[in-house]
Amino acid sequence: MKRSAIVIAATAAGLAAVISFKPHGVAGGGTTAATTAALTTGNANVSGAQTVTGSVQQLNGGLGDIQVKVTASNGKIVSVGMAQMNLHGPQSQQISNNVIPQLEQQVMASNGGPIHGVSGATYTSRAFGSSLQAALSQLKGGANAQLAAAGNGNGGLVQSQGGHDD
Amino acid sequence: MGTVVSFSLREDTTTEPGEAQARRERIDEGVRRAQAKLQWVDDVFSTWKPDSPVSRLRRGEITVDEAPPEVADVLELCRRAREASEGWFDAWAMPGGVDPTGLVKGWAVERALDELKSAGAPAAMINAGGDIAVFGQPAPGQPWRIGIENPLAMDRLLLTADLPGPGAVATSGSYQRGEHLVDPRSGRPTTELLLATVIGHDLAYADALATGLYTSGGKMLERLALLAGYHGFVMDGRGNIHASRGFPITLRGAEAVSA
Repeated sequence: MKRSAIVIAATAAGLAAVISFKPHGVAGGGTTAATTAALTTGNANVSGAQTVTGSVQQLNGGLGDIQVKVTASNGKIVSVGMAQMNLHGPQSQQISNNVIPQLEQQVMASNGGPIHGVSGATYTSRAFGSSLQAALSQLKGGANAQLAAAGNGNGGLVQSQGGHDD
Repeated sequence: MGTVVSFSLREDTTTEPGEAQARRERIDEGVRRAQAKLQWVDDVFSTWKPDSPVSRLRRGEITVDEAPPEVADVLELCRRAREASEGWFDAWAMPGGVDPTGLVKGWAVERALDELKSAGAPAAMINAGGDIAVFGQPAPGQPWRIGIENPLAMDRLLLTADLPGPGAVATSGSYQRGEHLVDPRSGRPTTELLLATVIGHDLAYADALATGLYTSGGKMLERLALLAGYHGFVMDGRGNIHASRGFPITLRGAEAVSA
């Protein structure tokens, strides 16, 4: 029978990552998204889970730097959080309280939950995307993770590596 | 654009592995083209890059005719959006010269979505920093369910809107980047609303109309009700939601939706 899967690519300034997962409510699809563990804690006790950290990325305008941490299990991101976050300047509080949680929320929302996308006011998030990309790329070929990353040189597309077979 | 852009594509798999692989490769190529398109739009239209054609146009170094033809196309859309919004979206009222930024992100996403359509994706969604365009359905018979974030509680959604087919959702607000919207009529930043969302056919217009709706402080809701194919709602400073008359999209989670 025909099955559907959703493939996601996140890109920031030419950097991209693709993850694939099963959508909800598809007949025959055996997977329900193991959604949100606490967004800000990356050490979920999930069987087969793998936690990786991205590169440290500078925020635009000298606002500080961040490093994204991703935990994945069975091809799904189970949590996204910050491995480290060093912010300074008057906007630090807004970034840590508003911008970062929203980016985490967007990643999780794209991960197969009942919400397909989140609409909100725009934000500057190049650093988040770059660090996320770096984290996802480490999941390539991981034990159970089917999150795939294969950068093509100059920060291009990252391809998923085949669908789920459950 | 300095914004995270995420692509979600539906992939229908068959039992024939060769065909599935070929389809996958076509769609991967479509995603590459879509990303290249976004990068190209950023290179041409960025007002942050001093050497972009639009930056040079703003400084009067080149004319519209000397810029890539897409610049004239986008400025024409800006003219129409200015008219549709009764001047609440006005690319010519921005400081520093004509600035199509409020429309061009949505336009770029639609062009990127075209690439995914051409590549044969049965359904896709692009989310560019909270502005979303979709076509197809995420699974047969299933609508796209788009959450609208809650400006009063970042860890919760305000409500969700279901899009049964192709469409776009754009949201404007001042809570993410500080006051970044300017009232074209007074030249001052606007702060009255917490959020303005427009749902419609095309993200270029939805993006511009959401900007206009936000800057109007909600006055544009009546005008929006007269525009075919576009609807919207705002959240005022007290947290009340007001929707345009005849708002047809299924909203879940909103406690009070008034005309």
